[in-house]
Amino acid sequence: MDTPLEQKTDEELVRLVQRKNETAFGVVMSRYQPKLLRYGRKFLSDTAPIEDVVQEVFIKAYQNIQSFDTARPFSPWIYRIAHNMFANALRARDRLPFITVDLDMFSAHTAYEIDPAGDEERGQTRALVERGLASLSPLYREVLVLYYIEQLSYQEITEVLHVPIGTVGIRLRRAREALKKYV
Amino acid sequence: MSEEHNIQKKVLDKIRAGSVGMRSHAYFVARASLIGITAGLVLIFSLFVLSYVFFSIRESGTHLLLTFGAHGVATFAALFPWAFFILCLLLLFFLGEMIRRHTSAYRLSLIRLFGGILSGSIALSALIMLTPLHSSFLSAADHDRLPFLKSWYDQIHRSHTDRGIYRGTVVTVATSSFTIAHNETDPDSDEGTWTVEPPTNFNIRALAVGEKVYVAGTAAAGTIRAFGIRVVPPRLK
Repeated sequence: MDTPLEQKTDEELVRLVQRKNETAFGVVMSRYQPKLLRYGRKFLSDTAPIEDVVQEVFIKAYQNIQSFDTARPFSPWIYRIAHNMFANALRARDRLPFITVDLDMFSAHTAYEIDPAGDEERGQTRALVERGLASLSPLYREVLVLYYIEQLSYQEITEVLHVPIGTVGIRLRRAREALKKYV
Repeated sequence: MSEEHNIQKKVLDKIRAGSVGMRSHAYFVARASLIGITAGLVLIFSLFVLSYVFFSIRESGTHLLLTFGAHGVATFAALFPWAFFILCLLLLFFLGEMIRRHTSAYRLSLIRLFGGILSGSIALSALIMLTPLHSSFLSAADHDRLPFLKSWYDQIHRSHTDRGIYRGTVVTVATSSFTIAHNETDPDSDEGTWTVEPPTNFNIRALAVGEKVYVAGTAAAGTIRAFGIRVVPPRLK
């Protein structure tokens, strides 16, 4: 007997979607919609509705689903699409330049997950993040949201932001320092 | 209707109505192939330009200026083919960006990625220098048989007497000076005959008639007061 769709993994569902199973895509959407709405609201730090942007994320994901390799985890892939859409929305809203140079990306050192303080520190910092997020620049805001709120690993954040793992570590450290100054 | 169901319904309605379609697997294969081919072409052209830069420096003898002290280094910098070099860097940067955007190379730091591309390109260009590619193009350009890039190769023989650089063949050697003349059999455009007064540390007795020399100095009334002289190695004659 087939496993119900709700009990399948993301990757199993996507395999079905690639075979034009729309119901499976509905299950994928129901799994990721709350996460993407939360990610978008925190990243954009905006009170304006972002449902339209999330809807576009799902449409883009569906259009490009055949490019997804089901041997790899699905979560960073859809977060990557969301990141691009949210970043575009942010650029349009704040009139930010399309291309920015991030000197942290020149970093050659390796960041080791996880923070030395571990889960307890992660919980405490998460509370700080909830309070002080709006005061940070989008660059730092996003990495904090992905790590502390969306609970992604350094490796997954690398896949979402398309930056080296060392850059993820540097951004997180700087974001935490900035956060402590504000809160 | 809840916000959650509203988004899902809107998306599924668009899919079912056919206004949102799924791109085929073949589309992504074709796109990846196109990107791969473009990257390959950019790499080949970059390597061609970079190896041309090295070849033109070696073939024109400009690299000998680096042995003429600070004045020589400054002249070398002035004669360096910056336009080609910058074109090459831009191409390699474009290539790096393509690789970073379309492969997993974003996991590397920019220093590692671009450093690797640059050092790899220099190594490959050095290998190209070992082949007769540029020599045959230069020869074809000299004989007006090169249908493309002729102006690139013509510059290699361009005269730099305006910058105090003279090339010629030794025709006479005296005790404290020697005379050079442009060799009509080579395609260099350094026309004229000059008497060269070498710097004090130059061993004029080691010089032989018929040798090709590269002289840097200031000229007045047919006499060059040289600050640097190098006999051109036979390979470059």
